[in-house]
Amino acid sequence: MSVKIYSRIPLLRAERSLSRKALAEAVSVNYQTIGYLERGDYNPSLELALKLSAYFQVPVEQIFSLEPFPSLFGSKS
Amino acid sequence: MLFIQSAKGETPTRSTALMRIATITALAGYPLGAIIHLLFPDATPEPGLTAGEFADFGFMILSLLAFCVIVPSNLQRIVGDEAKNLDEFEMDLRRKSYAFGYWVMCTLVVLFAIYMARGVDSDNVLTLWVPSTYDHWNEIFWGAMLYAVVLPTTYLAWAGPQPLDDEADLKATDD
Repeated sequence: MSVKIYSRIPLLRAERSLSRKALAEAVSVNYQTIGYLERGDYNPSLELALKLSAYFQVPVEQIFSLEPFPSLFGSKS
Repeated sequence: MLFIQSAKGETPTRSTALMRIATITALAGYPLGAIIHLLFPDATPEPGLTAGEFADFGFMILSLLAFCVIVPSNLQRIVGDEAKNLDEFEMDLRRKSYAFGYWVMCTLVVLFAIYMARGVDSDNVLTLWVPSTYDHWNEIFWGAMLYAVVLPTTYLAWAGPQPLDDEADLKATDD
């Protein structure tokens, strides 16, 4: 069983009003793959993580984490 | 591996329920038809189908119809499309589905070899049917081909991730 990786892709996508399809095209994957990444069903390769990092222009560790990201409202998500 | 795409390059997305029914129908229908064919051989020279032949053809046609549902599907695309058309997640699913298909086929081949070894053993303790005619081997060959194509897709239909609600996502962000 692989370790669950938490992702901030939904937040970053919402911030930029991006659909899964548009993001998927930008990083050359199927749009369903973006959904599985968001849901935590799939851990991305280093290559895909770096592509997402470059696309959103934020460090990788701000998109993916081994720990749940703290909620914007104070409690853990 | 077999995958057929429309001329427009579209791949129909089938529901999980439909794919589960289609894969089980394809895998179960063919051997059922073959067993009925074996139990009720074409003994009568008269034209027309006997009840056994009718059931045999019925199950085999059902299996082939299910196969026709599977071959152009989105899950079969993961199993059979060129690697360059798949992303890393789909390649990961393909590897898992091939591993499952390989494991099941190996198990079936070993069981068949054990059965044949027992069946041709003439010690008169246990008499088993063994394939002997061209028809028998022909049905076994096409059954093996069907299983080789459908087993990886069966894994995806039953153990693969559930499809996401894409329409809701696209509407929410495109508005």
